[in-house]
Amino acid sequence: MCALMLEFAKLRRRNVWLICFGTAALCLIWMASSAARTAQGSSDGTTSLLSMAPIVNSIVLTLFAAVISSQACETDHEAQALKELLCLQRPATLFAAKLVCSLTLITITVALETGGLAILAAYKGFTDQLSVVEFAAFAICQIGPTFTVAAVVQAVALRWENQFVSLALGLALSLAGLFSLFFPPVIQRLVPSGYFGLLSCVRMSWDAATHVTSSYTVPFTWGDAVLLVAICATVIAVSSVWFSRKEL
Amino acid sequence: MMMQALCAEVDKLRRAPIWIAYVVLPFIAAAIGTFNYQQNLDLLMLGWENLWTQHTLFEFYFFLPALVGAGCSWLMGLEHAGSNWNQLLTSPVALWRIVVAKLVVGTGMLGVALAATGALFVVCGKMVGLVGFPSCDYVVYLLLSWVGGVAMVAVQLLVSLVVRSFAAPVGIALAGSVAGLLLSSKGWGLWWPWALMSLASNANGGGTLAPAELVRFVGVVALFSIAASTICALMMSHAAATSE
Repeated sequence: MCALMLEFAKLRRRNVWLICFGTAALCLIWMASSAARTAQGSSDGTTSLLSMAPIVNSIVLTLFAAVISSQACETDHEAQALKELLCLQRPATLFAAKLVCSLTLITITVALETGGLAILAAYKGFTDQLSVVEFAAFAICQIGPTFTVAAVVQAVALRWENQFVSLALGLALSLAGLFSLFFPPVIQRLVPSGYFGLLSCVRMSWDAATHVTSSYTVPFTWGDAVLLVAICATVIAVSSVWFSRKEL
Repeated sequence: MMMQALCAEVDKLRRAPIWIAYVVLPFIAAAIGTFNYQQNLDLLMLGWENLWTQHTLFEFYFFLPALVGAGCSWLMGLEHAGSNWNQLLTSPVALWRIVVAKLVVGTGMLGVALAATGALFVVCGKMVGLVGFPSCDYVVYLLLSWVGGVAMVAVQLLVSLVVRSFAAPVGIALAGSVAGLLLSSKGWGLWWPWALMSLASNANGGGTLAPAELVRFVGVVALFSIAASTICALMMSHAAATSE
């Protein structure tokens, strides 16, 4: 807990909360502009919103994860504090504190986005209102891939002092994640940010004949969730060992 | 003196392999865009135009602005480190020359990405068996995008000067590009620096700038670039005082 508080103390005056609020606002404005085209009181308005969320989140939340992970690591690189810190803290503790710090920021941002979506759906009077449990499930499905991206970026951001590398990786993951949403699930499973689409319980289909896009619900894919957890655990384990053996 | 300032900026990039990102990002966009094009040939029409939109839509609207943000963060981050501002500001170089040198280098890096986009577009088109070569229109799209990108580079340099963090300006660039997408859909894209590049690129296949709009486009690019660079030069004089 003390290590986590220290991480937040290091991020003071770095506007991380502003980044969190800004990210949630950006996602909401984007989806609200889409919802504006849906009729008031539509019977599938909320489902349409949730089907659009993976596309928006694969771009915005992936890059958000890269930015906050990079910032959390940049503070120590910038102050050249790692050598001193690791005399006082175990590498695993420092590594875990940075991850939990990222997870906290991600959770708050996704919670804000989900809350905003619920308010937007209520404001538009969509008749397919979801329960709190369903919105919570949606939020968890967005937190998972975002956290996995944060873990991948943190591994790179701690390894190389040059934060351009970690941000370029974040950008590449964001681009690959977005494109993977239009590919078969096999390809989506290869990219952490592709899981935004895989874990979504709402899918979109486009009828070429009528040129109409419709949304439909599918059962939660537990297999993909387990696969994502396994990928995330592997990335954390490998990068933790990598960090503890890093020459300072 | 201008050339010396420019050479100094280029020297700072030596052995910094950030140009790789400017080639890899268009490569990812081209590889996935071509695959997507091949998969959807029953929906898309065979031809260079559809391949162009598949290659550039997401790249120009979201990822290239963010990459420019990272590149500008790099250019300013070099000065934020240590006491580099003190050294830079005590050197016998006018501040505006330093800003212009950074602007030229930032625009040059964007040019690398655009050249890679163009080259990969032709290569991928030939690989999927498109007939002949793309028309000269695509060269015009790329050149106009480069012109539009100058304004974005200037604004991102200003953002990176004000925000000392390396990562935050990248987020700002993404937010700017998403806002640009929304503003462009309302017809106000010409007044937003992050939308100028995508507006000129015909990435959505909706057509590029009309000849009548071209003068206004260049004027707005010049306005944003000069305004951002002037503010940048003015703020630079205070940078040493705020550096840690």
